[in-house]
Amino acid sequence: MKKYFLILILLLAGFLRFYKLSSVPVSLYWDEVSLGYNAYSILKTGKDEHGNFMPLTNFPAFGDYKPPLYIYATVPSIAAFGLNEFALRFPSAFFGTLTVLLTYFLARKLTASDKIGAISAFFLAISPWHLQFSRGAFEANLGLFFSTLGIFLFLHTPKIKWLILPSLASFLAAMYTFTGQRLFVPFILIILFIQFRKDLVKNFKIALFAAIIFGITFWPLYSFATQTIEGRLRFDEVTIFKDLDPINLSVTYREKDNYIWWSGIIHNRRLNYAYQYLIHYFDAFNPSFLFSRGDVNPRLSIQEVGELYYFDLPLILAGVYFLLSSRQKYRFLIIGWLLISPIGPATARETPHALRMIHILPTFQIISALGAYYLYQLIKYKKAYITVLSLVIFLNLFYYLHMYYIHWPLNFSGAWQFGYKQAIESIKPLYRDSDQIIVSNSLGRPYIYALFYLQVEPEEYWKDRNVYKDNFSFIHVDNFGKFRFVDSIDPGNVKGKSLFIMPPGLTPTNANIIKEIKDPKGNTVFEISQLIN
Amino acid sequence: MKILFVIFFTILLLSVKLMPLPQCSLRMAIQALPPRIFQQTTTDSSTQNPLITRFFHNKAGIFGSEFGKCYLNFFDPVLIAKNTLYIGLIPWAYFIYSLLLRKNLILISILLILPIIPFMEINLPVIYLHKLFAIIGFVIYMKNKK
Repeated sequence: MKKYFLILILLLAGFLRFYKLSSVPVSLYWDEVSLGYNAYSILKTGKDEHGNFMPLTNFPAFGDYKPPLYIYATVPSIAAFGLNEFALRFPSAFFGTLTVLLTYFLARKLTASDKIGAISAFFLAISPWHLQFSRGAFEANLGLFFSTLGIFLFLHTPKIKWLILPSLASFLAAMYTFTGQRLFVPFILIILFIQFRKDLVKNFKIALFAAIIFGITFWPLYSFATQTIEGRLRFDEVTIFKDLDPINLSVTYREKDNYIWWSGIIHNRRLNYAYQYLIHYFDAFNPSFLFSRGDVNPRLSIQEVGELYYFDLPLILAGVYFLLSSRQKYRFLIIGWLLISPIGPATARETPHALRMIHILPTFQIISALGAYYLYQLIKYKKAYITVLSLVIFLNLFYYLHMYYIHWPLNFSGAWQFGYKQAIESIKPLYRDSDQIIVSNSLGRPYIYALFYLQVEPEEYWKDRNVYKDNFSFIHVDNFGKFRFVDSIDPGNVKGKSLFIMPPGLTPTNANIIKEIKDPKGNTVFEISQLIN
Repeated sequence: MKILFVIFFTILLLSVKLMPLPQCSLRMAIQALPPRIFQQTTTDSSTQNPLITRFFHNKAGIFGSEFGKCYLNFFDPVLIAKNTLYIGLIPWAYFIYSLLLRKNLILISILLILPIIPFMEINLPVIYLHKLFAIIGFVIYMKNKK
């Protein structure tokens, strides 16, 4: 296989990930800004936004206790490019491009074919699912790179046994990067242990040594995730197992059966929870999610195209068939990887969830490539097949790119909290002359945008900020410097020269509106007004 | 003994309450065309070449998208699982796999055409076929099992 095809694929992958990276998605959403400001704070002071020195297992941030590795990966990027959108999204785009290269080597190893490797890499390069998360500061995308690297290195351990150490290190890095990986890595390790059980037994000593090192380095994260309220917070917030409906249903049915002994077995709440879990598990393979509309959250999908293209459907079906019928060597690993990926995300209420399930990539692309390749071997009119397939692929790709760059930013700017950047930059010239700047909390967590876009030095921020934790352990900032962040305002209590950044309808009636911040569709997001009392 | 298992499995599957297909038909797909065309063509810039706008946003493409959604609803794993009590999903998949192994093109073609029936609003209870496929898959499995 000529190397320049791979180079072309990588160039395409890089271009699709870096083109207009700062402006599409249309703005930074709050988690991105939080990642960026915490990275900036680490760069400047070695401490996070709350003054914790070099956190190891988590960054408290908004009280969501973000895993640390993406933030640390962003530090060099911010040092090089400054505190801006490009620097923040650079690690995701960079490692997303590297994941395409990794997919080539991984697929080549799994299928012993560099053609299938190249096709897999190409399919991932143009994948809507992967592009969506490579172009935003998503920890999950970096986590995907690490877990895929871990799997790739593990594949080589029968021949080069010491590679088990960097393999487990990669898996560990994945778990320190994204929460969802903590419910994927254990299962993929089980799959890998089953696939390579004979080799692991043969190299038992080094496997044991690697497992011990892994256990020691995993221990801090494990302790935090399982033995602290903060560590369990996110899981408790989203899990279906905290939902009371299955229990209520069980009680209702048993009551109707007059609490007879067998009713407790048939209408057991554990069976109800298991039933709910299975619904959430199989949601991962919902055809509308995969091929038609994608994730219902407009931040995670452009809503017009599925997570996969329509052409992937027949290719995946063909790929699964050929994988099983040709008794391909790594069929257990590939199918196992595909089937265990939704296990973790199925514990959450919102399913299917493209972000939490991103570690399923690039199995779809590898299987799709297998299908495309084996169909090529079978079909008589090969030139016609290639022509038609290429045409279909490029039509799908161009349609996706058109919708991604033209329609999605216009239709869904609200999902990305558009307006904060423009509002903060508008008040910059007036900042010095104002006594206070009052910002509405309506779009959520405005303080982090003020810190980010004004590039407030962390030590300045720490001097007079007012931070509190609510009953759910979420962290809120009421004020820092001249900024006050409010849900509602009584203009009578505001003294001096005040600036307001409020959504329409909340601007004080006696304030003078000096600017309106409009979204790409022309709707007013914020009104900037001034009041002198 | 195998026959008993098959009978038990069949009774179990037939006793499961049927979950219908989501509402999705030719009429609804045609109704969706004007608003979607309008929404998509107005989103495109007025300075954009109209040919590009027509290329990306046309009735054929939008109809194809609506049809695809309706078609794939028939193969929704959650729908199949709920109609076959989850345990029937594996025999269902085994049935499809057996068809492919035997290269039974006629049955495969019929399977691929089935979702068009509810799309055309033909009043045939095709959704029951998921139960039938699961039962047949189970029978084939029991027959092949030594």
